[in-house]
Amino acid sequence: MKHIDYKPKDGKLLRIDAEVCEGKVAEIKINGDFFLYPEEAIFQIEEFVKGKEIEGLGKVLDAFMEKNQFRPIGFSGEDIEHALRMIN
Amino acid sequence: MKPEARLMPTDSVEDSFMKMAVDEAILVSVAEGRSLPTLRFYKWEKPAVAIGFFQSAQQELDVEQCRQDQVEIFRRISGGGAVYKDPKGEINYSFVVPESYNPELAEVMASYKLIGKAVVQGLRTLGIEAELAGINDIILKGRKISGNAQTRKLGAILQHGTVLLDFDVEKMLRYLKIPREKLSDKQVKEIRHRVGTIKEFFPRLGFIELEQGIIKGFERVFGLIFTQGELSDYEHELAQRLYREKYSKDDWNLKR
Repeated sequence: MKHIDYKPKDGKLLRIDAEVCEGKVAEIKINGDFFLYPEEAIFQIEEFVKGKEIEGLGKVLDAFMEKNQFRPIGFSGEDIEHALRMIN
Repeated sequence: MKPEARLMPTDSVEDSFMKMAVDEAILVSVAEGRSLPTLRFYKWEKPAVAIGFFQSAQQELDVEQCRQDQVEIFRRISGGGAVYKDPKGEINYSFVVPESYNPELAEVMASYKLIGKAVVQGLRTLGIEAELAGINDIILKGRKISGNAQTRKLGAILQHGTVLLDFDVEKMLRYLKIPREKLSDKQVKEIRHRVGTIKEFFPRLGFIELEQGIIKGFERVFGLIFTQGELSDYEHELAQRLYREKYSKDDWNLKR
């Protein structure tokens, strides 16, 4: 897996390990010093992102988090997409 | 009549893992209505390093150096960053309160501000003109003197944080890996410029005054009357179980 550290402006550090294949996320682990409520949602987010195309992932992930009432603090779906683009 | 709350003044008898287990036991107990809102203080007698819920020990720490120096590595139940626990001079607090206690506690960012305000007000009673900064920091003259992290479960909030009285930056850099990315947008070349201590500006201030000040801050902001108390039998047993099954285990501390 490839690794990227990305700190969004006014956000918290994202430390992402991901395997990307043909523009899609094959594997991902999202670490960092952000907050997320509930904390266990990180596992569902990682599962959700797997198999998704990086292009447009931000909006889709933000919608997923909102639908499930996950509250990220210090990052957004767009930030995850940005970090994955840097890896790709 | 002002609502009552429980105060647990500074103790340092537990290891890092039990400190975290006690925090969670109090969270559960307050959420279940078994205990009053609780303000607790603790400190470390030996150095330790804390990582947040979403961090990887290998990414954040020099794990081998920690092992060699017998520095405990422990994971918090809350998110946020890695923290070096310096026995020389930091005061740690945890505050547990039902979300329903105050309307501002219902929303995450508002609750960070409100609880942070209690710490800031407490420091200001001592003449320390601290301010809230960012999501969860407290600064003094532009330098970070406090980091705070919050978790919310079962309708209650646990926020714990550190206020730096004194600090050994060299030791911190020995155990923590600080990625360049984290400092880049602050235009700061060294961690020494970013992190401040109260002792730099108030050399005579000690732990006891700091603790008393923070208590006053919580009294004022939350309108509470604190009475000293101890863990209940329920909390004690729950903490023991959490210690055994979670906080003392590598499965928990070294996962991710």
